[in-house]
Amino acid sequence: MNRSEAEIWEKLYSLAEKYYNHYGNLLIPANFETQNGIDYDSHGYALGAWIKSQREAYKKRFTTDNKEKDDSILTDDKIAKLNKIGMVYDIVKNKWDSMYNLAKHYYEHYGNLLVPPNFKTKDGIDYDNQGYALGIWIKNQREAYKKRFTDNKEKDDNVLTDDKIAKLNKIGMVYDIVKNKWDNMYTLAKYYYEHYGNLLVPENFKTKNGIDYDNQGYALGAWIANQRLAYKKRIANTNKEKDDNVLTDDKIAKLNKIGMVYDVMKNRWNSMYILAKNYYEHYGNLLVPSNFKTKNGIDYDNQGYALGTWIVNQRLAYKKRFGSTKKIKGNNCVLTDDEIEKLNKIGMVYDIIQNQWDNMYTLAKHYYEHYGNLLVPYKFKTKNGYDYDEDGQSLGLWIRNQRTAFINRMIPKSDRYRNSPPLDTDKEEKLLKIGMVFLVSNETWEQKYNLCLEYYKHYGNLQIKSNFKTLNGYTYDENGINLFSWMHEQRIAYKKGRLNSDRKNKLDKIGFIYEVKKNRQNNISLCNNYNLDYNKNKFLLLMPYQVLSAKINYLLAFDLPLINNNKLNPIFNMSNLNIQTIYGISIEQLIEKYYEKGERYVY
Amino acid sequence: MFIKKYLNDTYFNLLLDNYEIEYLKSFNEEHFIAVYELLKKYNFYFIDDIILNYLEIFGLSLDDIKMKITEMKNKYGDNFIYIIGQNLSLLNNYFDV
Repeated sequence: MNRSEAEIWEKLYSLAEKYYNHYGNLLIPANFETQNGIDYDSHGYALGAWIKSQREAYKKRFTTDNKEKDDSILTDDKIAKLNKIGMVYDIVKNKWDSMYNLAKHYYEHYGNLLVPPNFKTKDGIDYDNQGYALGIWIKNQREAYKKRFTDNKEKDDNVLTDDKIAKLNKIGMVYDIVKNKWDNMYTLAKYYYEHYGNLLVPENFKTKNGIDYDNQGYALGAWIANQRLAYKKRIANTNKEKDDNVLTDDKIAKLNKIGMVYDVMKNRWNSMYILAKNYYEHYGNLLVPSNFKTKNGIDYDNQGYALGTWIVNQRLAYKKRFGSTKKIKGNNCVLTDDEIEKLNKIGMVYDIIQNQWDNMYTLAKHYYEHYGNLLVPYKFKTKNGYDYDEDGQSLGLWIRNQRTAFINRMIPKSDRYRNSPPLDTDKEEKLLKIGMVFLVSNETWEQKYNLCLEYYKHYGNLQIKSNFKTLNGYTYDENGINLFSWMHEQRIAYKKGRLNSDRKNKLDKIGFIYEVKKNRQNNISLCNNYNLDYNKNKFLLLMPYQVLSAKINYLLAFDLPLINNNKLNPIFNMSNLNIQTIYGISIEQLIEKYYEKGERYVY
Repeated sequence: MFIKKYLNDTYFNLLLDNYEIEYLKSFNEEHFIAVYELLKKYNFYFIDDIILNYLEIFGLSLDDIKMKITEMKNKYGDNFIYIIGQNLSLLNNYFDV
């Protein structure tokens, strides 16, 4: 073998070694191709074909004499290496043992040998479309077993030997699947019951071990449904014990031990109640999300029963019962007294809307007790009522909605906001007890003023930073009121004459600065002297006094009009760069040349 | 005072003369920078004039400022920056100062 052939052999050997280390055998399917020795890859090395060629080389070596010079014959060294990784040279002779090993792995993993007929695997446990057809092999063993005991064919290659039968028996082989199917399925049902505490197997449930859903498994849900049908047939016609479809007393007794429910409709309420009770005992409430499905009442399971939907239906049934003046006994859609009593014991909430209002009220009450007001910022969310929580309830929005509902009570239906139902007096009273302000205007001003007052008391000044938000007046809170913005609004209100004397007096007490621009009065005086209408041109009062003065002097120096056709000279409103472009002079130069230094007033 | 970084000496002195010192100290630097960068992003070439005459804008929320800028753009068109630069008093129509 030349060097490149040797390299190829070593390369393929290393892949075979990886296969063996991963799967525990060297039963590589003939069409298996791989890049890494483990995963099938159609662009990879033909490892299956290589293994087959090693077997052929082995046969040539030990069946043909004096062929050591034959390039295709395996050397002792290579044989030793292949033996280390479980090489099987006679696949026909050893196939049974190889497949038995896979069956044994299956049994050890799943606890039974109920291998589905289409099951393929490389390791005996996981389904693998590229693997060995274990399901078919098991089926073949059953057929061989039948042939053995019906036809005196011990010499027949297809017939199981005593040794093989003994080995298969050790791993729970079932030869008569029809006869034993019931027992096998019962075993799976028993596992289900022991795990979930009930036999409410969903109809589409498939499984290999009775517990976990497995699409490749046995249709346990369908089998349970068939037992119910068989039971009904039995009850309907007592003279049917010979019928294969009819349950025997023995089978009924066995099913009863594992909580079989024969009449699902009749017993469904009780069955679902059990799940609801489990939910209540685990979570402490029966606020089951409407899309919640479960097998045990606690854990969400997409293959489980729609408990959320069932709870919704109980609420509807309750409303039907108490919504009409006539009691509708015997109607399946209405809850009986007994059912209501049972539901009440596990915290059933019939009116979810009213309950929601009460929950939000509780949060609002906590907010009030914590902050001393119900000035909840609009975007405030919380779980406990006073700490912001992005995943919490929208308390700010709810407070706003209560105000809307309150206003809606006072106005005609056609004018109501957002079709909100009016707030009833009972709820209004409850909200008033916790400081609710339904008409926010004056009260909100007072409450924001109080926050400013708290700041002033705490810090001794009103140097409130532009980004300062607070809920208590002195501690920053991202979800609080922006006091800087509120103070700005007061200044605007003051300038526009909208600040009443009461509010002004209160602001005076905390050293509020109404005018942040120092020279406003001086600008007013200057404008008056030159008949510049600052009411019409508000910018005249915004610019620094020096700039206004310098611009006036500049225009006068060049005999340019301050006002032209009732319009202010554009220079007064221009930006620095625009002035430079049009007039060839900057504001800095205007001040240097035309504002008289040391002289604050120019007449 | 951090605002000095954004103005030349003349403008800074004018600012000190124009606004109460307590008011100037109340501006949060981080927010000021955010507003400054926002105006710069919109290519306002007279941000120093805005600081000098309309400092109150730097106390408003970014969302409010963006909203007002959009209104101005809708009103005056794509050339709105130059139009405002020619007549800064137009800002009074959008910002209460």
